[in-house]
Amino acid sequence: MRRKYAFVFALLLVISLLTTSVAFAGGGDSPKPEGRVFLDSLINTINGDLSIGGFTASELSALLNVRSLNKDELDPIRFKSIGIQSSPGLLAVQYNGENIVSITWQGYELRNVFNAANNILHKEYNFRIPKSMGYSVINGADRALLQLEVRTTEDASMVSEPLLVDLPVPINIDISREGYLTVEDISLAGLFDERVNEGLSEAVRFAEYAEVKSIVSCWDKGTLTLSADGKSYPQVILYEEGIKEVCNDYSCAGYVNNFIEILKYSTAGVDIAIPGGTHSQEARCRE
Amino acid sequence: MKHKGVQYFVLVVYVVFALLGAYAFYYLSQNQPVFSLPSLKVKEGSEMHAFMNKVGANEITYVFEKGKITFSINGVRCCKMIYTAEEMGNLIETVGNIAFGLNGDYYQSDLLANIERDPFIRDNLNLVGKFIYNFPIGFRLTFYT
Repeated sequence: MRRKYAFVFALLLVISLLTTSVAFAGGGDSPKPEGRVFLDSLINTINGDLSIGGFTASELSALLNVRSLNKDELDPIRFKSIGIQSSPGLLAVQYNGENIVSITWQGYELRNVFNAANNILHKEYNFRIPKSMGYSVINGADRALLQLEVRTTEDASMVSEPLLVDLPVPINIDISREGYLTVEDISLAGLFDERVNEGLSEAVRFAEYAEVKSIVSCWDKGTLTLSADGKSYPQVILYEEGIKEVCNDYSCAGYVNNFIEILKYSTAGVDIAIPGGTHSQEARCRE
Repeated sequence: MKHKGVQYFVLVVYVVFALLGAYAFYYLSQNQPVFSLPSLKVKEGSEMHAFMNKVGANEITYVFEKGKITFSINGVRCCKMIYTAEEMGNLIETVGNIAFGLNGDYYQSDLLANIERDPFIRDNLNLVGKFIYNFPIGFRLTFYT
């Protein structure tokens, strides 16, 4: 019975959010997004092969544990494309190229929805998503333009569009002395193999030897920059022809072109705080 | 009298050499010539040889010039490091600090330990970077298998 009430309450929340969107639609300018992430994926409905972010099915299987879809998984797929676009203050969903829903929000409204949903989770399932984690995700969604596309095709020669990452504000990462990572206040402890944590713990020790408390490293369309505690270090420029030459006889030969396409147009960075260090508020990977 | 003439002659020779030296330094820093050092054959079985085999490299070249180091494999430009005097100074200082930090843990090297004990060197690592940046001559160093 309580679950039924919880469901009705959750439904009311969604409806109220949708009606809020109607009330706000077209009213006022949304803040300009600071970054953009575009991820395209393609499902071949004949053989079940997946192509994600510009990588073909065979390249993906060499890199990650990704397999083709089987007949049972392919059968329910009837769409040509589904697109989800999230920009500051707006979430839009498209089905076969047609807008089916668009929701506008203010940051505090999303936080209210999150808190309410979290309370339901806690009461019904005795599970609570950490507040800092939820707020961090909401803040991220409120700063960047996120575009996800899932398309279907029968043409085996078609490949998805290359992944595009353009995030001029570095991602905050904290590393503990034991080598545990926290990304934008979201703890990743327990997610990695113990050897990864040992490696990171060793890196922290190196940073302490170097008398460094915080590191900002950025990749901007072929150039890698590094600064530590506000002091800048030499920058490194990678050349396309050189990467191809290194990959010629190496295991990356099969998918090097995809990586180059992604790296050539991408901007992203990390702002790493070692124990005792703080994150830079002004750090930018692109002006 | 004769003795004084010799003294003047020696003084003139010193001045001429000092002027020539100053001009040579000015000329080099303006023109930044790059001298090719003799190519080095990489010893079979070494880590460098294994690395070169792994990436399919017959030849690896480093070109050190003022403010930049270019790295090429088989004659193809791979990456370039660009730096100012301050940035290279920061890099040398950081690498030095790590080396000094590791010394006690791993190497037990007398040389590093002696350097570590010398506060002058430790405090002036930054100057080494500035010296590298201002070095007026470039070098090309090639390793081949």
